[in-house]
Amino acid sequence: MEVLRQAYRSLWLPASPAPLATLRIVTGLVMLVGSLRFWAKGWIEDNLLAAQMQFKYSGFEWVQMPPADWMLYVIFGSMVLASVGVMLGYRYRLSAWLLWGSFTYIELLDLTWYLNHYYFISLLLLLLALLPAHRHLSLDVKLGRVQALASVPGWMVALPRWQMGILYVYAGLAKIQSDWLIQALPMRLWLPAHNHEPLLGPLFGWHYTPWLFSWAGMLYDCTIPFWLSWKKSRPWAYLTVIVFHALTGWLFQIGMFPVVMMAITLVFFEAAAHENWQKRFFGIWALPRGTLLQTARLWVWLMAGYLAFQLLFPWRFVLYPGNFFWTEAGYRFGWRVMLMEKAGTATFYVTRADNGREGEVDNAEFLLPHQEKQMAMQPDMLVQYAHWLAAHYEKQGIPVAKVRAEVYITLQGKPSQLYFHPQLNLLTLNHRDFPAWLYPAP
Amino acid sequence: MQRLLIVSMLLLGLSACKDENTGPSTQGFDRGSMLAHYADQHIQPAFDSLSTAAQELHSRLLGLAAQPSPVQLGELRAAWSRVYLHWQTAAIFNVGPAAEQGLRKRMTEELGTFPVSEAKINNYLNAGDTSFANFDRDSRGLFAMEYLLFAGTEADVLNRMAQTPARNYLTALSNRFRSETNRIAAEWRGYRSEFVGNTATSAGSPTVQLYNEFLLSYEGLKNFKLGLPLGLRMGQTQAEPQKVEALYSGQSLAGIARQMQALEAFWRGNNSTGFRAYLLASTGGQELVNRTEAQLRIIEARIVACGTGRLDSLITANPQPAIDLHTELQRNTRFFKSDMSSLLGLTITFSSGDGD
Repeated sequence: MEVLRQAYRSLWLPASPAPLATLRIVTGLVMLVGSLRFWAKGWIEDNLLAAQMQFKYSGFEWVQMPPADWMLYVIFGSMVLASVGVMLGYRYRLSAWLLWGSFTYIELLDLTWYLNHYYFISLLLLLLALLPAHRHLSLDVKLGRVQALASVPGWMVALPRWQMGILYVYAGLAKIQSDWLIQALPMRLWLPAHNHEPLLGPLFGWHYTPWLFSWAGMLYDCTIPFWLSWKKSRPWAYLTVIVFHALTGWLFQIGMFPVVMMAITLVFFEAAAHENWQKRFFGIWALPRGTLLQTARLWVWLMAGYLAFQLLFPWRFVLYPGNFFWTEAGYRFGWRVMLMEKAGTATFYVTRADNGREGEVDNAEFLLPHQEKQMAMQPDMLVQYAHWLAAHYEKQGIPVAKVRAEVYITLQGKPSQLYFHPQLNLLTLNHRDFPAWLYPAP
Repeated sequence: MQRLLIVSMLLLGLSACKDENTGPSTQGFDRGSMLAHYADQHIQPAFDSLSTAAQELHSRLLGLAAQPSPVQLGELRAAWSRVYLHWQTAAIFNVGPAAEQGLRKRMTEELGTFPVSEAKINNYLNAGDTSFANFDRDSRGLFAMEYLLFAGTEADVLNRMAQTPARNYLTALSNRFRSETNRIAAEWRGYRSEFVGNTATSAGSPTVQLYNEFLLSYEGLKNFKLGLPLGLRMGQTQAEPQKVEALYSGQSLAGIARQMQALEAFWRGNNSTGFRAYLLASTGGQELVNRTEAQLRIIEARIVACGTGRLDSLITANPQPAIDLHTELQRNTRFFKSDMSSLLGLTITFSSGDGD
């Protein structure tokens, strides 16, 4: 109890702004590399511009592709510049809001590219834009644009730590279920595909490895924020952060995510550690000095509300009936990563209103392979695609009476099952609604 | 507490230090020998046969050009038909030197586009343009040759061959087909080691490319060789029997049967390796193999039920057997597509991206 009381008290005590400055710098750096990488890999063209349609987030249907292609490059350009601004702490508020806005806009463009870690970055950028992360070790301070801070209220440093903690612990809790722990699924499906890797390859062909990975992954996610918070275990915990994320990054196609996590978890280190390396890199002026920041009660309440939302929102799935791997109702925005191997084959049929003739749709004609893959297994996207097809053919002068689909879903490598009645007219459905029209999970 | 901490850390770090422990024998599937099997028993022989047949076709064409006669024409047409059948097998392997590269599309699109445009062929032919420096892929390739060799009566064709523009254009078509298939067969010999040596399963790896091309060919057979002439595709208002593959020689059904055979043989591999064995080596693979094999037997029966006549005539007279074949192919799609990729941990997308 004494520990908790102390922790609570420390929320109101002045704390060094150094961890926030580190967080700002590494986030800006990671975003800079990430956006340039996205650009350099041609993903602006291949993933965004090449698409004929975009799948929408419920509630964000109004987010549209920019009217002209060049504008997308302008947005990516501002993301690059804003990343530099955030990293250097130059015109920080503008840079941070611009970075958050441009990144979030890009993420909201197409639901098929949803990733938990993109969502996490959006949240982190929002927190950074709100916190005074630029009032220490920044160009704004150096140029006299803002006053340097000797301290910030403790909760400001705790906030990003809690956000990370929620991510990890929720990712871990989601793994406490029989598929993951008892069946070692989907690890049992994924790991054997890596038996060719040098050094560790033979391990992935070993029968018990999937269980080892599943249990280690669950324990890691559930407990790592605590090991990182405790001074004695912190250096070792950070070492496992590096090993864990390097390993998953090497095995699974998860792009920048491991680097992001390795960078962001640095915020768990104590202020002295941050001040130390900052002094080493930037010299004596990197030491915190200036005024003590006091904040209005309102801010505290707002942040408490934000945290409460983060704690509660991932649990909304309990409000929906059925297996949420199957329905995916309340699945997103809940830090459920790597939990399932799910795939679908979806064949759409459109019936003309004028002559009743039914035609089969070739999905490859309209969707990118990635879009087709995502659409074919997620109810809200199946419905969106049906509506899009109807609108597309109507535009061509073909009146559409019905769009139906024959969809087979395979979950965790089990034999595929029909997802819903193949004669169901998908045009009668709304993508925002709970998919009560699905067959029960097998 | 201290002890608990150490135990936990050990457990967490276990995945990292496990490589020192070689442990019991591994039972992972050997993709290297699967790739070698495919390269040596399926892909290289397919490209070699195609290249040889194309060479023979070209020689016969030069023979006919020098000395036109009905007998020569008969032999030339038979040579084309042999190319057509070899094509069905080779066309499912658009990998490595046969894959898309820069402006060059996949072999199937470069050399096998159908239906061809008679108007475009005649335009280029009359203009004496044999450069192929354009994007009208429906004016060249295997089925442009077929048009010139089979459209009309025997006398029409002999008459056509007597005219310089048509003869030149056909010779140029054949020469391009011959040199391109020869290039692919030769380059595959050099590409083999790179192909077999890369046993990764990430996007763009040989295993994934091979699998994706297999899928594309399977869906292409269903959607374009059958669905299109049957008028089953959305936007079509009626059956369009004139859009069958190999319209002029009327060998479409033989082509479909041969390609399905090739796809099945590819999926099957042999007893010890191939995608079937790969599935059997994975969790729950036996059931998928059983389901797939049962469905493949139905497909075979449906192909037989379509008979050996012309597909366009069948579609005009009584399309039901062809529609049934399409339906059964459709039923099998999920086994090849989502079920198989899920079990094997292979990706259906072609480029890598982020994931989580």
